[in-house]
Amino acid sequence: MINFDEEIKRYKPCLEIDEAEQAIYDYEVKDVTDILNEMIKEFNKDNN
Amino acid sequence: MLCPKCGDNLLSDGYCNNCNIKVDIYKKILNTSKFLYNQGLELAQIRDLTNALNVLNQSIKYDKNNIDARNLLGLIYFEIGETVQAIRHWVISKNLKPTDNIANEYLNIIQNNHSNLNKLNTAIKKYNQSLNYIHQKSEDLAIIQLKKVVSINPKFIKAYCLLALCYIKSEQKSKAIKYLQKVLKIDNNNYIAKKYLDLIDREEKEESLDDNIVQSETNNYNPIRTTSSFQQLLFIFAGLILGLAVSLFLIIPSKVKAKNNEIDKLNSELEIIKEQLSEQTNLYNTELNKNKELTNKYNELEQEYNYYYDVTNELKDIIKAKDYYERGDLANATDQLILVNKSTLENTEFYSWYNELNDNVALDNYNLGMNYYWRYTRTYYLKAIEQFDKCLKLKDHTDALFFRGISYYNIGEYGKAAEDFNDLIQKYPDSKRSESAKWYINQISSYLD
Repeated sequence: MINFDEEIKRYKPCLEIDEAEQAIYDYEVKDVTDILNEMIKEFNKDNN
Repeated sequence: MLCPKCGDNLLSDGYCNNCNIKVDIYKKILNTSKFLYNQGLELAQIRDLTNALNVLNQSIKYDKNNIDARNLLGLIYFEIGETVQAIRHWVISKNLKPTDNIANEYLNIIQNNHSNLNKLNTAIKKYNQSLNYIHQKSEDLAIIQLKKVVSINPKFIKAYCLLALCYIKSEQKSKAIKYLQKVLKIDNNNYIAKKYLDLIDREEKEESLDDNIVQSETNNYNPIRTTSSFQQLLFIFAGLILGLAVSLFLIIPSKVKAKNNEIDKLNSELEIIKEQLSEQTNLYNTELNKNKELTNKYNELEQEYNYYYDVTNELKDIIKAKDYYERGDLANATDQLILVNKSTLENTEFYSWYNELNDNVALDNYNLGMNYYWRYTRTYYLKAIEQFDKCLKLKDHTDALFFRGISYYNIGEYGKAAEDFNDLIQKYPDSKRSESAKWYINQISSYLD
């Protein structure tokens, strides 16, 4: 049996076209290589 | 050789001084990203869009500069109705690689077709509105909105799934199945659609299983065999009694209850209609009262207008009379003043002014009458009578009445003389002329005898 109230919680509102600009600015463009670089910098800092 | 990350020169062993990392690691990461992109592409080609999205998102997590993965991601998002997500990825792709990039083409297509963009935006707004309706427990309104959404954007998967969920809740499973199948046509591995279909299928199986159990249980019952006609009659009679009992105790009460419920419903509807009728009646009465008030106000204003109209007319006559009087034309001044209806002016500020003029004109008429009276000829008595008449038309004047009576007496008009003297005696019994008037009346009586 489908629990309607629980199922509805999974549905979030969609972004509207007017909100696209903000959505682009808020988008975090980071990948694994950026994370790796940050980790290396942290590591080097701790060692120094 | 240059570092693929920062573009700096690499050392001979493949180490980048700037990033402090061996370039082989970068190459592995980039290859992973490409590998995931290829997987995503294969999945997209067979319309397994859900898994394609997952894989492509991972691809750009490994390498954010993987333009192909990003463009394909945007395309898939656009295909499933997530327009803003699509635009986001294409814009980022365009920023990372401004030239020779298919994302430019996609963005131009969307931006140049304003009406289509508006339609897509409308679909998103209505989808969000329908979510609000559901949170407000108005699933019926949500269904109406969602049907509009899918008619505007027939690829909006989220809307289809939500619509199907609403239909499932309202026990319209066949409609839910219809929309879920549409979802699977677009995205053949959409897990939400599959989950709902699976649950519907299981429920239907459970229901049919219950039916089967009932069916199989009834097969265990054998029919009763009768041995003699008497027993048959007995069984028939028992059956009739049982049937009657069932109808008396089960069917009829439930029917009566149903009818009572119907009556209650109609009664409550009747109450609502009565309330509405009462409201309408009150409104009507209020409007009627307002109308009456306005009518009364109108009548008042009309009366006021008529009154001031009359006053104005009287004032015109008075002004004419004053004008004649100032020019010495006593006759015309008198005639104008005789026309004035003094009761109209009684409560106005013009009354005293009118009275003053009236008194002056009346006195002048009396004085002229007395001038004629002292001539002692018939002709002048007649002229005196005329003047005294005018004076008395303007105001009550004891002497004018008395001398008119004497004038009538002197020309032999005893009847008219007697009238004037009697009038004087009645109106002014205490005046100095009343004794003389009584004497004249006695004289006239002796003449008439």
